[in-house]
Amino acid sequence: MLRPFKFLFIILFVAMMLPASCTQDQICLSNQSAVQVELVSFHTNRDTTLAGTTIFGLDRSSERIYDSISVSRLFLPLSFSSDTTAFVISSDNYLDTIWFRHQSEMEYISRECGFTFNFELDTIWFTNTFIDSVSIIYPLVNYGEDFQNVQIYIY
Amino acid sequence: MEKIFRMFKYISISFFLLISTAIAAQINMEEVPRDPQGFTLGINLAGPFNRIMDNDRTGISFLTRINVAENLFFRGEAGFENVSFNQDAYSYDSNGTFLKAGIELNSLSKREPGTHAHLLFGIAYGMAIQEQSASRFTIENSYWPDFVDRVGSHTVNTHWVELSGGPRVEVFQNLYLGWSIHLRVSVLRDNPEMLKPYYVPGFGNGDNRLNGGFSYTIEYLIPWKK
Repeated sequence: MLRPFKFLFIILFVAMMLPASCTQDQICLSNQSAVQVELVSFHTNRDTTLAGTTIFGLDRSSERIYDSISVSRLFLPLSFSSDTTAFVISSDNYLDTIWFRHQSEMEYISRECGFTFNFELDTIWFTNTFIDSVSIIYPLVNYGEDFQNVQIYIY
Repeated sequence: MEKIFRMFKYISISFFLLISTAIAAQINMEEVPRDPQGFTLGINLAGPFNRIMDNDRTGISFLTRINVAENLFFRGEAGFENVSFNQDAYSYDSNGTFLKAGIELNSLSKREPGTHAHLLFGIAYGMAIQEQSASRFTIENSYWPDFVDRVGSHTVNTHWVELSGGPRVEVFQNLYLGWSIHLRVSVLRDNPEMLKPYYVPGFGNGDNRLNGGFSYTIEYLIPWKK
């Protein structure tokens, strides 16, 4: 008897249609183009906190990344349209400017998330009001990675 | 919701495999004359069904099976799929066609007189050509201006090998319904650097080298020899 076969076949034919085009959505990460900075005390060589800190992009003083808060770790977004991104850091009425020179490369992430820029830090230079020195620990700012890139030594 | 769908998919597959095995084992009938010799013209409903599930996709394909020897079929399929959507990350358009050709073996060797049912396992080679573009893509920046650009129209070729398995049964005279599960492995893709295809016609998710898929076929047999 093949009738049960036919019956089962037709039931399953319909049932199998339901899951046919299910796909797994991917979670897309945001804010993946920021340099991660750790603040270190020049005197103690340990992590430190900078009180009353305001940070904004050079020539973009009206849009602040940090506004009068205490910080020990910074996330500084790099620009897509320039090979140098500069920030003004102020703390208790002292001002410093820091420039990040970087190369960027556009990369396709996935069909859900589209494209991103990955960066490689070349050089950093800065003014010396309260910044003593800077070291690049890990020069790559890549999508999906979470590494500290730079240490800034504070007087 | 999607998890439930995926779970359901796996349960369905397991159930199908179980049923198929059981049926294959239980059918124990007298040997009867061969299947009618001929070729079928058919339609694969996977494309229209994908359209119902995902409005961004439009596609359909047509197939033929030719009974080249006892329990051995040639299976050929040709179709198209267009994809078009506009989402935050990018706007995308793709128009493409595909061809598949392969052989299938029927593993149901015994038959009931007057009834034609097959459990087919096959291997096929597939190739797709599609023209795709992203009329806009945006890379968001949390502080500095976003980057907006476009990817111009370009052609992508994809080749793959496909394993398939599933039953097919004659529901009315010369009219066959069938479904099958496919496992596809891409073996070649050119021009992949800038933008991978969202869907490759006939293959599926363009980000993957390995894809699963389903076919739901309705075929009409045109016999040339009884």
